[in-house]
Amino acid sequence: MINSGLNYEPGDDITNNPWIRGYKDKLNIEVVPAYTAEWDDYFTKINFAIADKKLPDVCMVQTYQLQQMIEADLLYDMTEIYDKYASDIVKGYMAIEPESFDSGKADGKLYGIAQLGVGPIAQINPVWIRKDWKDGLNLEDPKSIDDLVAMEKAFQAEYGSTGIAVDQSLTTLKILAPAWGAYPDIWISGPDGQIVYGSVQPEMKDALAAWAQWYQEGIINSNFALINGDKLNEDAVNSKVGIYPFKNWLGWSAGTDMISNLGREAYLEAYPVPSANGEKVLYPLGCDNFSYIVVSKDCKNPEAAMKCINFYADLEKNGTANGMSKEEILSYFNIDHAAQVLRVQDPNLDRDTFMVASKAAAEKDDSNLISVKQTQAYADIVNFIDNGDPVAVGGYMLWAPVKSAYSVAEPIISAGDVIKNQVWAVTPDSIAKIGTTLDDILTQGFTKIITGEEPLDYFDTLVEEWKTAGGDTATQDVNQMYGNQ
Amino acid sequence: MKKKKLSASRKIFLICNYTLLVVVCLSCVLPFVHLLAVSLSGRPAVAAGKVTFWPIEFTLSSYEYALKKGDFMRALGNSLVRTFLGTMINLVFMVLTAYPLSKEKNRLTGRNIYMAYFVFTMLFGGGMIPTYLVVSRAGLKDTIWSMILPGALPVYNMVILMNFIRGLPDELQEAARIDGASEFQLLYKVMIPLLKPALATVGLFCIVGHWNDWFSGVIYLNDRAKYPLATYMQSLLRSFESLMRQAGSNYRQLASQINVRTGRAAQLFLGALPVMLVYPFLQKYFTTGLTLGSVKG
Amino acid sequence: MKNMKKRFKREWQMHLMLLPGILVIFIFSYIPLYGLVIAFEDYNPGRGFSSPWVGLKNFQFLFSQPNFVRTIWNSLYIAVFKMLGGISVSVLFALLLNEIGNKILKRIFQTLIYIPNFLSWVILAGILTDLLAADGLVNQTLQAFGLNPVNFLGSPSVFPWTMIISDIWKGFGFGTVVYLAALTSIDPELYEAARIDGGGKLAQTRFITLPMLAPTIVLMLVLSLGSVLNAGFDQIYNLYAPVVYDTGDIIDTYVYRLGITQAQYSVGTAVGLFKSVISMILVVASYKLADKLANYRIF
Repeated sequence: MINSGLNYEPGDDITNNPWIRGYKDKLNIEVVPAYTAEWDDYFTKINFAIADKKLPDVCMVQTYQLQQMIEADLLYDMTEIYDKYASDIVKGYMAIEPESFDSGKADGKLYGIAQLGVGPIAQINPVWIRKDWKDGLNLEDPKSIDDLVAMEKAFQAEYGSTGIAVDQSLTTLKILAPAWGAYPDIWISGPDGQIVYGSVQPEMKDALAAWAQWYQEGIINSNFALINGDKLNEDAVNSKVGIYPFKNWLGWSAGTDMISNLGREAYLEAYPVPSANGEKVLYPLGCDNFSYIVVSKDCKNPEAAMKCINFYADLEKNGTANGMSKEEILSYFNIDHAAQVLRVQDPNLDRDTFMVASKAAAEKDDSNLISVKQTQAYADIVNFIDNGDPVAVGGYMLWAPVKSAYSVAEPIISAGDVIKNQVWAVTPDSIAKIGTTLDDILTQGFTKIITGEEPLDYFDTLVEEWKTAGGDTATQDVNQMYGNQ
Repeated sequence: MKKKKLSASRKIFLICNYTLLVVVCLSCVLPFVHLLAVSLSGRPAVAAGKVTFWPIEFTLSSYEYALKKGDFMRALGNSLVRTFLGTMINLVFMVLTAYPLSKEKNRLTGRNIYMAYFVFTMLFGGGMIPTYLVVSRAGLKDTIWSMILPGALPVYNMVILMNFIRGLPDELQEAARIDGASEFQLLYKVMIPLLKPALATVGLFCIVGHWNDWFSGVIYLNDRAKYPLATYMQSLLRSFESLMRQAGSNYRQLASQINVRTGRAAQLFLGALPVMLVYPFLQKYFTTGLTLGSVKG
Repeated sequence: MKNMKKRFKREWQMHLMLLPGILVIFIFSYIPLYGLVIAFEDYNPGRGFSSPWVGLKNFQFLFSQPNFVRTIWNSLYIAVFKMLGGISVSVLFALLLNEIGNKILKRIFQTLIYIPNFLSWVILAGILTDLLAADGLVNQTLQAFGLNPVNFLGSPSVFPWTMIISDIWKGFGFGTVVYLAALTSIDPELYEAARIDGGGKLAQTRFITLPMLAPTIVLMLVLSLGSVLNAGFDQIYNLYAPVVYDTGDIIDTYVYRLGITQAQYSVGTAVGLFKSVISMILVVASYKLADKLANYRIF
């Protein structure tokens, strides 16, 4: 079991807290944590437990671990128990993401119950733009990549920006790639129905051409090849960055420190990725289910696990509807990590929370907030608007009614402007075996093209290199596993 | 015999020597000072990279956070016990092994085979998983012994120690042997006193090794209450990052004061300081070898 | 027969002393060696060590990777210079420290140079990236002296040397401690005799100190050969970037990216075995060489 070891109420700890008491009092199930470890360490322990063939009754495992356990016949077949005991809420979650649910099956039997993620809305990465700078220059919202470049130039002239934020992993540039119709790092349907790798398609070359141009003109920071994400945040905090394509949680990693150092208005607003060629921008969407709940073959009461899962889902979804007071529910969610092993996420949770909380914040009316998450999202938005609290800016940049990550993402998801990764949850062995080294070849080559060390046509050489290094095999295997569906 | 007056070249040498040593020592200390400053600075200043050698927006939040719970003292206690017990066992095993192996093969039958037996394990290892399985089958999991017994005999340090023993004069041993002392008596009464500087040296390596090792705690211990300090600090650090995002956390306000960098710096000081304090005491022994007399030629 | 009895009587105590060490090494080092079979298997932890046998396929896979051979060369290059540099610097500082008459100062110096040993590379990497940045302290200093700034971490030709020098800096305190301990066991009478013969400080160092240190130097050298292909994962992993993969990517970082994190144990074990064999060849060769040429037997 996971626990952060941090935020328990006085007197409580991993073995005695509202969740443990809840399982005991409401379900009469005694839950005893087998492990107490942080995220990465936890999965290390699971690896050893698999080798030792000594599993806890219930644990949470990653995809590759699930495969290993199934192959080694260590798991309880949960098919019947799921059918019989899983609550409608949980079954409803699974219906939203059937692919993820099915990825927990082998030979038609259910071994791993997908824990699901916070849903597609969290996967849309916006372009973040410094609010005070943009307002200061009275600039329009960027409608095209050219607008974005013009904006960057203005930021450099007026505020001393050192370039659009880019680091050595090229993460931020890859977020912009859909502007050119390029989808690096995911597997997409090619023109002939085959599944192909987005990073080696011709559109990627277009994007690289633009980026190499940017590098020459100083639109992106000249030393990007050396700096990592931490340094990027440091630049942002030092007022050197005005345009920062990034994940939705930027408010927590850089936002708080920007506000503390640069003042109330120095936060970032989210915008959709603008198009480079006038065509509609589609956003990449992958599987966000990373873990499964599994039950050991030797477990005496496998249905207990299912009951605990129901318990969490019910509390989270229905909240006050069960006649519990807000305070009573809050006591559970104060320690959300405690229940990690025994919970399935609502894939619509963040989206619903955003809808309710942002509406409430816009109307300054908190009477419709029913869940803990909604209450907190609302509190963050209001707290930042009213007090400019640096701690609340993370929540504000995520949940706010306008120009927040979710306000950008929600319409995109609603309209279905997405391209799905064809590889869902389970990756073929050949890809697992080669790790990131295949992508490394591309990252290294792309960097050389952007910095001008190699000409643009080096891209074609690079693609060949990628193919011979294992790209061809990977493509074949992916098509075998996911093709013709 | 008193030294003559220093010659000019000697003086120049000494000046250069001191200057060089001071510069190098500074280069060794300044990163440490920097970390101390970071650990005592506020999160915004650190995030902006403003802190060099003096804390900005002075705060003890990082330490407060790490020390808030009794867990720290418990982990410190675990570490002290582990390091003391582990180092003692290391020393016993090393001495017992290094002494016979320091003999020539005509004095110890099969000496070279023994040696090869030990050295082989410096080069070949079975990897983490098989070792884990052995520890688990031996019933050591979740006990302090899981962190001590697998490395009870550090072969690398043992070889260093053995070479020290070889460098000692034979005459003393011979004299004792003629007096009818057994090998155990010889080892205990004659060798150990002579080996103090060497034992202090390898002992230091063992102490530092035990103190800093966090990974065996992660894999062998399931109960957090048994974590040594290094493992505890490591796990604490991992939770820094998620701190801010945790729903309803009482620690949110604290989180606006600390981040991974300040936390890591504080971790370093809380974790490394105790063992660094031991070092000067051990040093006393480093120089006691001077009066030993002749060295085997 | 009689001879053996006599030997036994004389030696049994020493064999007894060896027993605990032999046992503990057998249990915790030799028994786990059976795990090496997974280098020849398609290992699945759940199925254990009787996973499907694949022979040399894991090795073939490794060597068929276009960039793997490059990492061997990089590892050797970086490790060898770290080793040689580390030893020279440690010996040098042991000698220089030994010249310090003031006991307290000597102790302070000795303590301070050991401090970097307490800093992990994760922490040092953060500091080094700041110091060595284009506008970092080191380059500012260089420019103050009218020199061109150096791209310490981003230039493929400089990067390995940045690794080598920073590693020597971090580690030399350890070696210095060993050499100082060795220096203390040198008979002062030897120096006395040299002084009477009119030998100056330099001559004493050249003809007494260094020869007396030589066995320890050889010892440390051969011992470090045992890990010659470990060019420093923690250090390089925390400091490198794709731009310097050509010269900076070492075996361990490469294998790490091959997916050890996803429990790809077979390939990892195969690499480990490969490194062990190479190390063993080097250690045995250098041991024999030192024995033949200088009559130093370190084992």
